[in-house]
Order: sequence, then structure tokens, then C-alpha cells
Amino acid sequence: MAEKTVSYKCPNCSGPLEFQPGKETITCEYCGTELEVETVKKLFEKEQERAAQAEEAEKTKWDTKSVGSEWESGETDNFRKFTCSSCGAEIVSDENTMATECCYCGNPTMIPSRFDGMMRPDFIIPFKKTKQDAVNALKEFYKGKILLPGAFTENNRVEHIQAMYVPFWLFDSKVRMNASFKAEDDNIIDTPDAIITKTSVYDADREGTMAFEKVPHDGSRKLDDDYTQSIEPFDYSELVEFNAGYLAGYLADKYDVDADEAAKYTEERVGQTALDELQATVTGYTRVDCKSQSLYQEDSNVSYAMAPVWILTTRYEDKPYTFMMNGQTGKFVGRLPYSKTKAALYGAVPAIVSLPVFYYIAKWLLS
Amino acid sequence: MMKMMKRFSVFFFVLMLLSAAGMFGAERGEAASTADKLTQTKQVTQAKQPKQNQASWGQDEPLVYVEHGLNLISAEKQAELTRKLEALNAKYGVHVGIHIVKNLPAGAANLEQEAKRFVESGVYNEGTNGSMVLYITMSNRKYYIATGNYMNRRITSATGIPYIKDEIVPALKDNEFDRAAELFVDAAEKELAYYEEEGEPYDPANEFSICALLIGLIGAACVGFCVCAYLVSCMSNVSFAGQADEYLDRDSFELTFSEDTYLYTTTTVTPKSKGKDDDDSSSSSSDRGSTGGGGGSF
Repeated sequence: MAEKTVSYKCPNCSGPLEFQPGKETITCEYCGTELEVETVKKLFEKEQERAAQAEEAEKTKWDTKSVGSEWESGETDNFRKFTCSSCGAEIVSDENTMATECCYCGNPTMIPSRFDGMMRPDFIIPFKKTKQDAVNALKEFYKGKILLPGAFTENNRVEHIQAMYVPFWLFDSKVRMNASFKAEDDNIIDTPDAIITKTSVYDADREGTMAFEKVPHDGSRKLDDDYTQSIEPFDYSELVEFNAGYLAGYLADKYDVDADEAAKYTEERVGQTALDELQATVTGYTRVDCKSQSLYQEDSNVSYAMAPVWILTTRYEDKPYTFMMNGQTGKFVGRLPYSKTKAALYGAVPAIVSLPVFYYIAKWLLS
Repeated sequence: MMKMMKRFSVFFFVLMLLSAAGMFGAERGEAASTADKLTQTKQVTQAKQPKQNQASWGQDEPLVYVEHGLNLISAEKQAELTRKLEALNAKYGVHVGIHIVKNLPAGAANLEQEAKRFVESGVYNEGTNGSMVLYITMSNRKYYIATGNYMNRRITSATGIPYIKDEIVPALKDNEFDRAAELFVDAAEKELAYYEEEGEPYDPANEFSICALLIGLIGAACVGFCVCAYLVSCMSNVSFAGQADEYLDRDSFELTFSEDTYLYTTTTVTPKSKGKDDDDSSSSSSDRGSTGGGGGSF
């Protein structure tokens, strides 16, 4: 039976190969052999092709078997099983997983068939931050959070720390925006009897062009957009041409949000910034409000990139808590649970302290 | 001889005239001197003797006086208030009274001056620790609470008088003079008792206020809520990105069209607050000297 997965093994000792953050080469942890990323790529290209074919064949077979089986089609659609080429164990993953590691032997495993039917990523931003960096960042994130329940930090440990290449769409666009603003200018005249406010109203029309470079939007439906937007920005100066070798040792998803869908969200972001830029040119008025606006894409380009993200998950009182760290810059984001008792206490203290102040101010106002 | 006798008669007549004129002048000077002495005595004794041209008051000025015909306070109420004022005056060594007339007496400059003069005249001087009168003129519906004989050390124009005004003015506006008079007496007693106990004039600002406490609680609750909300917000740094500012090439921005068109002008007039309403005007004087007080319309 042909292998459906490709293990990145050292050609020297057959030990698992893993890309180390911050390095340009892939180093075998066991024999110390250093290999260029390009070399590894070429080395395993044929193997990937072969594995992809085997997977396709298996898929057809599996689909045939699924007819009349106990699995419902909806459930099995999301399941894919593979055999680890290192230890022979069966690995179950979802349909979008492109790279993972064997849960039995820890061997980095590529699933080349997942690259089929989709675009090959144009770029990749290699990991620079390590697992320890992620753990340290989490500890740092806890600091100063006075409402954090004691039990969360004492009895809780991070259940999963996962390094993942997340698919991102990067939008380059040159836009033209025109907008109409209602601008008001107040002239206040203070007389002994009254305050006279003369408000002159103007219609301010503006049109401008501007360019946006590599506005990102993640292509993974599984990840919360708020999280992936919060770990922005990535340093694009370290963007390199995609090479599957960088995926070794990391979980990698293929996109399930296509570029057209992602473009809608990006257009909103771009439109808002473009509007702000135009509004900033309406000066010399007391108030400026936008009446209408139109955004035109004059030139655009979309590229597909894999961005490094550390995902940390834990549970507290049966609720999952997810944290995310930018695998390149180390920017850490997340939502922490808070103790309602502590919140009430910390709210009550300033309330009690400020009560006499408010009491005497109120007395003074009432007198 | 006859000529000599005629000359002597003329001389004697002139002498008589001169003597008469001299005696008249001497008597007149003596009278003037006596009058001056009496004036000085009056000034020294703070006009112990009531002036005969000031109608309706004197040594027997009642504690609650309502001009005949006004019928503002019933006889029973007047008697009751008189008893209370007698007890109050005796207890604190003061003279506090109520004086309600239709018009100011002839020659009085204005209500404030008349009330201040009144409160340091006649029986009101019997208050060794001070005197106070609620003086009301019904023709123009004005009142003045005057303090004299250093009563302003106990009931100050700055705090004590405004408190009494706040107590009585609503009742005066409602033409409830029975109630206004009683409130005046009660307020005076409260302030005098406070001074006896605390050794300082009564100031309503020092009193506990439920209303202020409620407002204070609301303010404090808002502070507590804001602090709590801020701390809770610190527990998450996940936020939606609504803009793409970081990805804008600033140098690429080019304004290709810009036009401002004037449309119209609106004018809004906001009248300034006058501060005091004419119908509810009030005034107060300083506590310099022995007198003080405050008054207004109702």
C-alpha cells in the first residue's frame, strides 16, 4: 500500500525533521545534519506527489465504502484518516489540515493531497517565536490582571499549545474614494442677554486616491476573526516565497474562506480608512459628518500567505479559553475569565471612597 | 425838663427791649442745650424711649403684632405664638417677634432700614443676647428678617437667615401666615438652640441631607461601575479591527477633488439666566456691625 503521507525524515539518520524558528535551514535534532529548505523541498517533492496519488486513491475507495456504513455523510465529510509513515499509526484530521504531527510518535507529517484543488501559497512568514516564548507571553499576560480568579492560575495549566500556519489573504489595492460631508462652522456671539450661535452649513465634496498594501484577512473559518485581527500586524519584510519545508513540525490549515469572501471584509476596513483620510482634509469647521461615500477599486492584487500563529487553549469552570500569539512578532492576545467577587470588591472600594466627595458636592449644589 | 424825661423814657424802653431779647435768647440756648443732651443720651441708650411719631409700637409692642384689619393670623394662633416666643426669649435671653403691617410707617426709607431700626428699638432692646423680627408689609408683599443687638452672632445673614427664608417663604406665598409665623418661630428656636449647644451659628450646610446622600450614592455607584468595567475590559485585548490604517501607504494619498459649497446659516439664541426672579427676589446684608438680616418678596 502506497504511503499517503510524507514524513520529513533526515536522509542521514531517518530522524524527524523540524523547522526551527529563526533559522534558514532545517536541522535534524538527532544527528545534527543541516539541510537547506530548498533541498528538503526537492528531496520530498516526488514523495509528496506519490503520497497525494495514494491519498486520492484511498479517498475514492473510502467514499465507496461509506455507502451504507454507520457514519452519516455529514460527519465523515470532515474526517480524514492517514497512516503515519514513521510509526504506522492512523492519524485522524479534519479536511483542511495540510501539515500536522503524529500524535503517537510526534513525527512531523505533511498531507500533500490537501494542496490539491487549492492555490499554492505565494508567501510564508516563518515562525520566529518558540513554544517557550508563547508560555512566557501567557504568564506575562496574566500580570496586572487583578480580577483574574486565583484558581485559574493556581490549578490551571494550558491544555494545548499549538503552533499553526494560518492561511491569510493579503490584499493590495489602489482605491479611489469620493465622499460628501456636511460641514458646520459655529460663530458664537456672547451678548449680555443671550448667547447667539450662528451656524454656517457647507457641503464639502472630496475625492482622493490611495494605496493599501497587503491588508490581511485570515482564510480559516475555524479561527475567530477578532483574534486573528488582534494579532496583526505581521512584519512583511520577513515574508518569503512559500516553501512547504517551512511547514515541517507545524500544524497547517488550508483556507476554507475564499478570497472573494475575505475581500468583502477587507473592503470594509479599507473603506473606513479611506473615508477617514478624506474627512481629515475637511478642515476649519466645528463639525464634520459624512453624508455619502463611494469606494472604487482601481487596481488590486491578492496573494495567499501562511502566517505563523501560536494557539493556546485551556478550560476554566468548563468554559474554553483561547489565547493567540503572533508567531513572528510575539503579540499576544486573549480573553481571561474574571472573578465576579473581585470585580464587585474592586468596584466597591472606589465607590465608598468617592461617596463623601459626591455627598459634599451634592450638598454644595443643593444649597 | 420834659425833653430830658422823654429821652430817659426812650432809653429805658430800649433797655427793656434789650433785656427782654437777652432773656429770650438765654432761655432758648438753655433749651437747645437740653435738647442736645437728650439726643446724646438717646444715642447712648440706643433710643430707650420710643419715638412718638412711630405709630403702633412702643414699650408694650406685642411679640406678635398684626395690624388691625389685616386678619392674617387668628387670635388663638397669635396667643399660642406669643407663648412660644415668650418662652423662647426667656430661655435664650433674646427678643424675637413678628411684626405685620399694611404699609411702612411714614418717613421710613425702605423695609430693610425700617426693620433694622425697629429691631434695635423699644422692647427689642431687652434681648440681651440679641433681637430678631420678621417684618412684613402686606401692601407690596415684602418681608425682611432683621437681626439686631448682635443677634447676627447667633443667626447669621449668610446661613441662618437664608434657612429661615427657605422655611417661611413657601407658606407666605400660599398666604398661610399662621403657618409661616409658626415656622419662623420654630426656625429661630432651632438656630438658637444649635448655637447654645454647639457654640457656633447654625448652618444648614452642616446638616445631614438625604437628598445629597442619594445623589452621592448614584455618583459613587457610577465611579464603582466605571472602575469595575475598566478592570473587566482589561481582561481581554481581543478586538475587532474596523480599519486598515496600518496598511495604508501614506505617500500614495492624493486628493484629486476638493470643493466646499456654502449652503445656509442658522441662528440659535440662548437667553442667559437672569439669576434671580423678580417675583422671588431676595436680599441679604452682611453681618458687620450689630445688625443683619435678609428679605424678599412673596
